[in-house]
Amino acid sequence: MQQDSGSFRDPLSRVFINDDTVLRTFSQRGFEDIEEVWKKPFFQDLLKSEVLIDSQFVDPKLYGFTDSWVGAMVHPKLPFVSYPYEWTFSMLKDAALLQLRLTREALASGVSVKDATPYNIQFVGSRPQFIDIGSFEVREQSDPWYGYRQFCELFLYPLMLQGYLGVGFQPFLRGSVNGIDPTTMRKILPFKLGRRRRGRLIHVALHAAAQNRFADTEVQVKNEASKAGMNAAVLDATLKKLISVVENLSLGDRKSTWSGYSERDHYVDSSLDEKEKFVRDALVQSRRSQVWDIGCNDGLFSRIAAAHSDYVVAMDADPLVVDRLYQTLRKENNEKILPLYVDLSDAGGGIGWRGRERLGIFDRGNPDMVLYLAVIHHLSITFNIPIESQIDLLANVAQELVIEMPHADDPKVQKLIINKRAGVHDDFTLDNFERLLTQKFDVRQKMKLASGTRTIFHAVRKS
Amino acid sequence: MISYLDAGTGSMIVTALAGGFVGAVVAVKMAMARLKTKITRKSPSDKVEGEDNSDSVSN
Repeated sequence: MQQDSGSFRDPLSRVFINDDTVLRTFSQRGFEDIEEVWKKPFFQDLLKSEVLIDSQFVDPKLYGFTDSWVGAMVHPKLPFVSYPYEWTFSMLKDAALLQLRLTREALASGVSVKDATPYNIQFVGSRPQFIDIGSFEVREQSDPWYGYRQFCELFLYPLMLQGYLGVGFQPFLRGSVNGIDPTTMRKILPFKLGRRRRGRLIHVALHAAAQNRFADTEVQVKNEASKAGMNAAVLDATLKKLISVVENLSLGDRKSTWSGYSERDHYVDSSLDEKEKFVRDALVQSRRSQVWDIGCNDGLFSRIAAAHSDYVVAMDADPLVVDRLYQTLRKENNEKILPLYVDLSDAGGGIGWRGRERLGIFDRGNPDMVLYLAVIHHLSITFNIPIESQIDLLANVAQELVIEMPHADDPKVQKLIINKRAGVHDDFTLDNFERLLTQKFDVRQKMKLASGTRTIFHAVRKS
Repeated sequence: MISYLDAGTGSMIVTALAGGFVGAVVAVKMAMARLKTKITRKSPSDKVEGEDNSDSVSN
């Protein structure tokens, strides 16, 4: 088994992965803790309700571990691992609330959650689930909430950025695996007269000031605090108030490029029906385990794909559109479609320690099929990414492809091209596209849509 | 318990204050205890902390 490249920070536990299993190993100390926590009713309840990932104790020797890992647990392998910078506001908010509620329940049962990072939460479709069983440990009376600062840096401040300033948090989280530190956040979110920003004074301003004031202290504050009466009840009050701060943060009524405008407006109704039928026909041929719908918009085609496959990762470059899709899926308790904010023109590389702590999106899974509908012209014209390079990427990622190619005279193409120098996109033609596509793929099916300005292809990678 | 994260002195104090009234009482008690220590004896750790205040601002 291979050690997960993101599992190394906590010395008491490690994660190893093979094709179908995730194994979590524990050191002597870590194992004693989890055995104790396991017996608690709250923990069993969280397992039963699937708030915690399914976990079964196993003998680490069965997996060839004979060294210092004395205990182990197996978990199911998730269909796709996503990271907070691919989530939307509502996803991060739901994850934050899960983290806080979990920490509170644990605290009430004498258990500490030792960290507070969104990387410990994964979405199964639209359902957030806590996956890091190694985070639980038996609480000592003088223990502070070790994860508070991390909670601020990776959950609270990113949510405040979006909720209070309307600024997307994703580039910040992708820019740093540690999130936004209190001092930076204080500078980003200044006090503003007449604007009530709940939580700013204590969790941002005071937090930054206290951190600077005590940066080099050598006194063990933990004991001082404990002597002064810092206990589980005080931490519980803090958690309760934080829950209220997070609950009150909202996305507001914001408009984005796509949210006030649907790409679908351009379709003659019959074109959309035809397109749906074409995609469905491609999908019914065999059951796929995973389909990626790149440029998913409102998820229409993701839903068709979900009916004919085990799991769909629905990606779009507009976080507000994805947020709306997430909220719809969440209401339905949909666990088959994972909505993600992915801007393909700027996606890929890994981040964190050695650039491998959090892997790039193309290193995290292999779909059997990719839907690439109404995407190619945006990347080719707006972002100047050559058709050839897009097809090369798709051939690297998936075995099968359903791709839509607008012709040079398509109204949407004309609109994108209007402010560009004449001739720059002369190669954006159906003929050129088909020539490049057939270098890497065999075309199974092809159809011109009723609008007459778009052609859709079902293609299989050349072996 | 051996949490691998450093709770951070400043952050720890804020978790008390953020708890509302009960937390504020803890913070006041901590401040009083410190004041008492300062008045009754000058411990080396206090001196270190005092000196470092000016440096920490440069963060």
